[in-house]
Amino acid sequence: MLNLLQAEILKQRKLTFIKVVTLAPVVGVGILSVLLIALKLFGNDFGPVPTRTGNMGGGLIGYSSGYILNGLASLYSFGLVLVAGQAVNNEYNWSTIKMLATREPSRTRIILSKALFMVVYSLFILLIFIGCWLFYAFVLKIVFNDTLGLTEQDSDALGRGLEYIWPTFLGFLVWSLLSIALTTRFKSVVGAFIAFIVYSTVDGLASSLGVAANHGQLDGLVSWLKPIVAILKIIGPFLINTNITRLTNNTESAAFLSSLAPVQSLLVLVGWGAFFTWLAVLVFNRRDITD
Amino acid sequence: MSQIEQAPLITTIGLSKSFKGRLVVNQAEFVVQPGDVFGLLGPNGAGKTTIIRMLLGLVKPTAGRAMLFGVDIATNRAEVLKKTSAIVEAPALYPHLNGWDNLRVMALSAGINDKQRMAWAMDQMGLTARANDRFKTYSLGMKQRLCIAAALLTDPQLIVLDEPTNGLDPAGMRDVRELIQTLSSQNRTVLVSSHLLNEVQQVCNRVAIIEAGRIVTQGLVSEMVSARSFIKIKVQPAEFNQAGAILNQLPWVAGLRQEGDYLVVEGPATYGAAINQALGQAGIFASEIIPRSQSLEEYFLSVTGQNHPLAASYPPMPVAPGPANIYQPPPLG
Repeated sequence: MLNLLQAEILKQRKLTFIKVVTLAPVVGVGILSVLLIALKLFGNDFGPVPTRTGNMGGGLIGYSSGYILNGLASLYSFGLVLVAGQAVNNEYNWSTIKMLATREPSRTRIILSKALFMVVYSLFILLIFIGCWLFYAFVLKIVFNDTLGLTEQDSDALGRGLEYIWPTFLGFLVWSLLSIALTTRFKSVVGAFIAFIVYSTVDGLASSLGVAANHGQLDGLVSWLKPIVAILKIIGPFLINTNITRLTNNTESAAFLSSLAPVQSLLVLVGWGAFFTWLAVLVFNRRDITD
Repeated sequence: MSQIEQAPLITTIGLSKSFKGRLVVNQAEFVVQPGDVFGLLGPNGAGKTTIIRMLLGLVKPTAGRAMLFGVDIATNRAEVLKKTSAIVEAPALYPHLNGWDNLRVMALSAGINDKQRMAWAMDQMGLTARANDRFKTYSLGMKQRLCIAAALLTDPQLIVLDEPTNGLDPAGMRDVRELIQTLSSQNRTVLVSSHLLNEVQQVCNRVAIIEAGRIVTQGLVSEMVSARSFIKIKVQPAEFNQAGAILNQLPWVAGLRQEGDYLVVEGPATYGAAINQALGQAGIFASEIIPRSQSLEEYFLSVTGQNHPLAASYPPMPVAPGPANIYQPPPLG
């Protein structure tokens, strides 16, 4: 399996698309940092340290996490979905799927190697974002003449940021595994991406409604909608977006946070990831390869 | 142990495949012996590639079984593919990777991490100098060779090549021919599909002919091309009848006819000396003895019902009158 993973990494790392997706946050943050430092060197006064506080904490580490983790990183939901889709789709486009499928490793292992690659790649991108976030915070500390050491506020923001970003990327990984299953099914990134948008939107909507239903906010609805509310109450805690929100603590609702144990949310997300991988294996194993 | 005593390397039993109700392969049955260079012959769309896909487990048969190395590919896929390498249709590897990285990917996919073996395979195919160039910059022949280098990494006993000369220029075709002969000399069994009959005739020892999804016939190429052979003999017109009578008595003569200045003796093309001897004993001396076997293409056309005369390249000649017994071919067999 490790050999297959190594082969997968070798294949993917030289793709221009992967290089762009991987280096975009580094280049973006790098350019922004150079501009800020240049402005500082040319005598620009950035004023006092911004005091924005919120879920992500205060200080410049909390401030920068608002841009890097909440803002830029959220785009990578699509980025990882596209990378996963390409990993499968390219094998069909280049007809290399025949070469792979006529080698000793089973079709199951071929799909598992793709899934494993996405685990490694998601982790890698997560580390890149953490690096970009901390680097950007460091640059901000320089331009705002803030203390370079870690304050108590910084430590709090650091904890909050890390607590937010890892479940976010776990969620992205789950979506990317769905993307592998969909691309295996449709043999097209575009088809898989459209299906992903539809699926994730429905999941997001049902998650929000499920949370609302479970906290009595939909009790006043007309009677014919009550069966739907009842279903939402049951499935709500098992939906992907519900559990990503729970693990990231990205909500003001204390009632919602206390209604779901983090371990349960983690298990649900891992379960969805395993289910999507199994789905991809099932589709691929049954398929005649005629491409 | 001789080839005949060995268990077949490939056996198909009633292998059939239909796509959306259309029967593409119909009850295909053939046997490949170890050491064979086996040709699967047929026109485009005959079902050759589908058969190959079923043999390799890429496509599941609608009915029937494909046994490789004595086991069913459907149930023992890993065991079969461990000893098999294949190139199905066009040579396909990763266009953005160079030759060496492509070989590494294929080696890792097969569970191999032996750089010496990779270098050997690259060298065998004469690609060492282009190892650092991207696959997409390779010519079709080079792509074919790199895929074969990848195939050689696992030291396979069976190599399956689907239309390996498609799109190649004459030099490339010659290279592939030589390559197949080299692979065969290394005691590997080669299954090659093609619609280029002359190419196949030059490299295969055994073939199956497929048309519209059915195996029409199969056997040794040498037997196929000698199945309809003849010898043209030029004697004096005054000696035609006497020569005909003598030749008709030879046990291996299957038929006799006149074509212009020639007598055409249907039978093994290698019996020219016997004819010369028989006629010489009667004081008839032929000025020309021309042996000719049919080509595989002619055999193919004859068994697929697209028959055209064996001697089509020669102008058809009226059959001259003569003793009835001379022109009546003896019963076959």
